[in-house]
Amino acid sequence: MATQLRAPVCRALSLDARLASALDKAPMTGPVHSVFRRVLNVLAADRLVALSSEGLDDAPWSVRTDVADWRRLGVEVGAVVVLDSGHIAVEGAPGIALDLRHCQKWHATVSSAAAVATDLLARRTAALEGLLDARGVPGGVVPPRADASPIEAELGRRLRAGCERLTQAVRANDDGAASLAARSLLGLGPGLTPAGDDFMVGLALVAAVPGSRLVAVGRAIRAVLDACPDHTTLVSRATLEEAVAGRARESLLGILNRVFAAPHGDDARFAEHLRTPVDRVLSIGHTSGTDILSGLVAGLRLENELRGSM
Amino acid sequence: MSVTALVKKNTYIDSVSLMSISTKANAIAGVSQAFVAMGTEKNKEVLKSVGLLAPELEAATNGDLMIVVDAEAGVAPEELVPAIEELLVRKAPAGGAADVTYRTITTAAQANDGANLAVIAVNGAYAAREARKALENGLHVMLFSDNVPVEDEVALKALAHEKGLLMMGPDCGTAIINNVGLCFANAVRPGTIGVVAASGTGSQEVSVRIHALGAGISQLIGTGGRDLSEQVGGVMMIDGIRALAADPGTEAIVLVSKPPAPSVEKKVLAEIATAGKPVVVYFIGGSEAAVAAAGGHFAASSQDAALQAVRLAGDPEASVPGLDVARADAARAGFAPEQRYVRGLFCGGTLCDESMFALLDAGEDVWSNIQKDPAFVLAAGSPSKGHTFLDFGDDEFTNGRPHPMIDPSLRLARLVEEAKDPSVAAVVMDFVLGFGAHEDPVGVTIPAITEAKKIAADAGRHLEIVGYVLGTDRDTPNAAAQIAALESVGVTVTRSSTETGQYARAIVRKGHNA
Repeated sequence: MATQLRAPVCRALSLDARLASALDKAPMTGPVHSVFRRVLNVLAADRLVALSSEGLDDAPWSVRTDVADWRRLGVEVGAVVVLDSGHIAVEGAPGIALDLRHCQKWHATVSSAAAVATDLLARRTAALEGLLDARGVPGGVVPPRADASPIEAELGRRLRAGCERLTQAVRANDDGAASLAARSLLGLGPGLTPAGDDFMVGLALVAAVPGSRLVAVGRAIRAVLDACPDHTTLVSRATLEEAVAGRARESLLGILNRVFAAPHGDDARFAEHLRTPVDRVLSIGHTSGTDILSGLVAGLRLENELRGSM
Repeated sequence: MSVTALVKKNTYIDSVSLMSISTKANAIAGVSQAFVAMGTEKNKEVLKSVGLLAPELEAATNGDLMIVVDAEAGVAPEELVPAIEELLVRKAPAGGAADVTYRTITTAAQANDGANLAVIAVNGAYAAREARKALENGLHVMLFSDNVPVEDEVALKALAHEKGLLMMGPDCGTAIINNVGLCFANAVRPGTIGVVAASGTGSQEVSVRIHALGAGISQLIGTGGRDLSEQVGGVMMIDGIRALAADPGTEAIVLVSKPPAPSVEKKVLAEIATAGKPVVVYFIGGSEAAVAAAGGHFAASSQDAALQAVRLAGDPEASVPGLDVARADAARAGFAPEQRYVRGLFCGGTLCDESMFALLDAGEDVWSNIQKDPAFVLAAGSPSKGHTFLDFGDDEFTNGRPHPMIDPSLRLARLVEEAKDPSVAAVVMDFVLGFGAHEDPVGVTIPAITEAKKIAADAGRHLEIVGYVLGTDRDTPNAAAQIAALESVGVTVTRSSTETGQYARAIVRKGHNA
């Protein structure tokens, strides 16, 4: 039978090294889970693999491509996707044939918390908080506008109460209270990655930095994800699981690595260096970027407090 | 309270669209409040606490979308549902009007009365057809696409000339029109200096140097790289000069190009005599005598072009610092005897050309993928030899992949390779900022710089890495932040493309002519 050939319309640019390693061991097959402008999610081997667009960061279980808009490629939810160590193909879409053999592998790397003294960490955290205050979006964990509807106001109240309870429980190293607080946040918020989850992603990333004192955070979030796997969306659960393991999109890790980098330059320059990755994170979703950074700042403040108490 | 709700099974909408839908739903006449959210347990608890958990929502799961409508008194909520469902179907683009998509240039032109310019970046095989449609609809054109046949370029420029429109390109990467930067332009101050350029990074460099000297740009008209070839005949550069001559906001004009065809150079120089304004001519390798004879101001470098233009536009005291010779001496003193060569790894063609010419001018042999001398042409995939200067933005490198100002991967790999060569004394690189460029060109290169330096250090060598950041304090990220990041990993930072060439020449020579 003659094979119908069609030139590929897209190209793989980079992929997560852990995904590459998994594909080296065994191919994956699964349906398209969701299609957005900048991401096509595939549900394969019980996890979400994201085919993203060039403008997005490298991220866990993700293949970055030069596709500008996945919605225009005519891929239907449910179409079967086959991934192996060299290629990704989508059933019914012969133009989408991604060659993985020559694209760059991305490694999620995080610095150790040990290189930065307490006073420097406090100053860097303040710089990050300054950027967040100046550029963050209200409506998630940040108080909503004055004209918020009763639902938005109630949502905001619960979010801020949950965040406060979680930080207090971590401060007290109280695993039980931390789990309860994490449970109150899981799935709270309207979006595909609810604001409560986003806050915990930021917190979990700080906790996952080697040498961090926030050990209670990882334990609490893992316990809640195990106990209530259906309490949040699939996309958000996958993001949280990776964050607990210290893996997240590159711009987030970039911020953490700058915060925990060996001392150099003055504080003003440090804020300048942070601006680009902060802007990139703030552009995630509607309030997601702001909520993740709020969790990151809360985690960094806790890290400093707990250092002082040891 | 009169509430209705519906559940959309397995419906995933990104959060920006979701917020847009929610906002629009709340604005529908008769809606007291509306809430669109994923059906998680916690979201249902919120609805319950405010008395809006309609029975049909109980069964919603974490993969379902919930829509809740609380209608104003006297309004039947079920009457509002179709309008909200329509919002879901339309899923309005997040950016509003700026993101509206049109299927053809003609419909876009018809839908936007005030539009007078089209930026076209489609596959080269279709680009001429789209450009023609734009011109026929009365739009000026900036044609970013390359690989457009030269016959098409000639025909398009003739049509544009006939209609009194600008035909910038093909292969035009930079323009600033009425203070709006297009494609790879930098954020520069508005001012009184007009630029017409057949070189993308060359025009970026001149505009950025003008900004650094405290002056600004009135218009920057790109012509496309082939405009000054024999076949095209400089049509766009000549039309550009005339446009700037007639522009009351322009006081001085700068022309920028790689070496033009001699007959075209003559035509262009003849045009400047009638411009009625001072014209600075920076044609790499051009003739000072020919420019002077035509009444123009010859510029020997991009820095010189910017400086002369700023002086002619009203700041006669403008000046630039000279090369820091002591710094070059110190660098050279640290090289081992076998470290004799410079390797230039550039994103910008004109920046590569300018640095390469600095070495050629000093009598050095330089191999390059953009060498004019066939004896010294180095193919893109070939290993370096002697002094090698590579333009990663040239077609050979970009065939089938994005420009290195967007995708730096090839250059990063080459940097590490060069560090392994014991004959290499220095690697020279440019980092180009601008609207369409990589968002953090220095940040993405730092791991490779660190690795390259370590490879050399482990072999007992000092590898000098020289970096030039083409950008301004208004770019995002700004030039100062990028320079600081380079300096933090031990890169020697130069202040202009011209100084980059001077520095490269100084560190391989025993004497200095800079």
